[in-house]
Amino acid sequence: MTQATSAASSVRVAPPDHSKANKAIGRRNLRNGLIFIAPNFIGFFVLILIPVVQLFYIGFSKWSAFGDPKFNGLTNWVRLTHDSNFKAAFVNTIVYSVVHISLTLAIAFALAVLLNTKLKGRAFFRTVAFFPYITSIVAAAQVWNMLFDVKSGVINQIIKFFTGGWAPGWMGSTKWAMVAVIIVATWREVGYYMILILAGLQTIPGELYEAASIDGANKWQQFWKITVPCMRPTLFFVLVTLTIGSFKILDLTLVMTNGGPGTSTLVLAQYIYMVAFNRQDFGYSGTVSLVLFALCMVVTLVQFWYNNKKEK
Amino acid sequence: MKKVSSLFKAAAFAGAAVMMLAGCGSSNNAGGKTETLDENAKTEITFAGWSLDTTPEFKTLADGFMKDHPNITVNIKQYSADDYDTQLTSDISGKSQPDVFPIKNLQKYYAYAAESGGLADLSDIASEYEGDKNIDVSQYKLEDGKYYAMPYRQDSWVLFYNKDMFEKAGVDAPDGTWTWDDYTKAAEELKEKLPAAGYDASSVYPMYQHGWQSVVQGFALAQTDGAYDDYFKGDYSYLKPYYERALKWQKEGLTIDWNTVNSTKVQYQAQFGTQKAAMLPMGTWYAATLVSQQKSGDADTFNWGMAPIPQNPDEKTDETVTFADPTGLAVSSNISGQKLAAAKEFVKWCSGEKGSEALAKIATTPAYFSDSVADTYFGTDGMANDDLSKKAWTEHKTNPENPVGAGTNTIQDVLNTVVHSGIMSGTSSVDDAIAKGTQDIKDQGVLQQ
Repeated sequence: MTQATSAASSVRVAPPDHSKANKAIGRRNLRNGLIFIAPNFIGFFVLILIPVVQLFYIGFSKWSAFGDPKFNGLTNWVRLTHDSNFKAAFVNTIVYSVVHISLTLAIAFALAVLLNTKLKGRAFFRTVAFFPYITSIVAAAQVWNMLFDVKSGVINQIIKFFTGGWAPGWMGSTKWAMVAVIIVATWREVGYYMILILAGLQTIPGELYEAASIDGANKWQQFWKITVPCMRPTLFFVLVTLTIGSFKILDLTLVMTNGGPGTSTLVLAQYIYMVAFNRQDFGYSGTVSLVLFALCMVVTLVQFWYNNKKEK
Repeated sequence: MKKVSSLFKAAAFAGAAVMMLAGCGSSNNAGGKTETLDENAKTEITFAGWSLDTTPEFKTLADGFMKDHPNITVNIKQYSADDYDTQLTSDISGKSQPDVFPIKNLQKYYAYAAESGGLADLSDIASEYEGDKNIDVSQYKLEDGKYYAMPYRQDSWVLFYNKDMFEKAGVDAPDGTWTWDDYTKAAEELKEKLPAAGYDASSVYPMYQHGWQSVVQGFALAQTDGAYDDYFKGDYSYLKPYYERALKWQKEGLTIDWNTVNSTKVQYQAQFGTQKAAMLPMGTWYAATLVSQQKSGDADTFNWGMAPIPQNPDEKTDETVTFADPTGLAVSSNISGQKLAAAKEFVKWCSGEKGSEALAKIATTPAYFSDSVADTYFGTDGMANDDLSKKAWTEHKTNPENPVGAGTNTIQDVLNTVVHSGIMSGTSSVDDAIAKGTQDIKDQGVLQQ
């Protein structure tokens, strides 16, 4: 009996020995894993996480960058509700994002599909489409500013040829400045997203199309029934990065229009900078930052939720 | 020589009087612990400057001072010209500001002086200039009666004009009595006559109005009675006639329109320097640039002069009223003892006659306007030196570009983005833009109750 028990227990003892070894391996892996992510995470922690957490306090305070922020409750938020510049910036950011995202996505997708076919010189065209993305935005914006010049710009010369004299006022007009910014932004980013989508397209097995064409599906049906569903993970990633990038737009409007004329191209990111560094009002600027943060957060969460629902 | 006074002086007069009656002025209260400078001790101080290659003033001041004080070394620390205030703000909040640093304009001065705690009290230097007709330090006085900066440059806005263009077109040149209406009339006449004198009608304009907010608002504020009080009360109607004129000039094609100026980033130096504009309202700092550009060939060679800035046609004054912010020097509050004494001595030297002489030699408008400084300035090679130019440079009442107070930063910013940009771009009418700007400023809660 005792023998049996001891035998049994000795049998039972063996697996814990294994798990001990497993645990050791697990611990080592964990340690190595942590060491590997440490450089990135420490940077993220010090440079991003801590400032972001602090922002939640600064957004509820009065602070001129000197001394310590003084908590002032909801004062900044009340100010926000009747700040017409903030409203203009908010609306502009939304308008810019909605138009820019749909335009970029549509063109990038179309280009990717086109350049995924056996087109002559497609490597050349892929490079051409990617080129704007690696160009310095300041230099590119200067050139676009010249192209958009109302009197002597190439664009208006061409438009005038067709319309017989009428041409948009572009940067000098409150109606057209945003259009110009969106055109340049789309031009810049289409190439980058095209490459991402192209990579996704190439993972779709050719057999699917073969099978579909045998079953009598036309190209259009193949696109909607095979390409789009297979591309959902890629499109989801593209949409999320594109959305966040669009909400944070700053460099282009800064170089091209500086938010003007009036407030017609003022976006949230620029308003945040303006309030902080021109008005030395870092507390209120923090409040506007929180709004931008919440906006990005909400839209991204909705996208995740929608993606998960579709995946089930 | 220069009629130095300002609305602030008047406003703060009562306070100043009390201090003078109290005996030795503010220096005893504020700078009671003033260290005495030991000239024999080796001391090093740091001094902030920007664009050192193209802006010789920092080196000129440092070198001049070191010559007079051989045991003190001034090390210049270079900043970016465009991001100076941003960099300085982060330095001050991190308590790592240089020992001596320039204050570029009055708009930011209040935040630095009253809120940052990073600036040393310079009231003892100010008290030494009390009653000195050659220098005006009043613009740096805060509500508490203390001074945290001293001016070392006091530019002012004048009317630059191309004598050759006026002569060839046969239009009467400015005579020093102009109002803005006379300016308009001359411009209209030039527009009519310049093409006949051989100037290209499509690219040459009678005037050039730069795109800055101050080009309209600075004059409106300085030349309208009571505008400095209205500023913090939220009444900006004083801007209206100035904007109506600016729009008229633009509409009649007397100047390049504002939208083009901004979208093509027109440089006023090129516009006037290559004879594309016959008249240019601009700060006296441009004289030094024009002189050096004419020498280097970046600007055409032509005869030019400075005339007193045109006056408000709706108000009678017997003196020329113009505006400009002084450029000041401040001392860090982080230093003490010998270092502090040396830094203060440096600031005093720069704002005084010796520093001003050194600046005048490089055609930079200094803060101390004695006769000999003026002679030095107009004696520089290539400088306009007719009587009208001398009069324009020396005889005027210079008001600050904007009043100094807790709300200045926000008010200036709204007046720029909403009012100036709104009106000049044609987005909104003058009345609408002013109404909207006023409302925005009220909503920001920065007005005096």
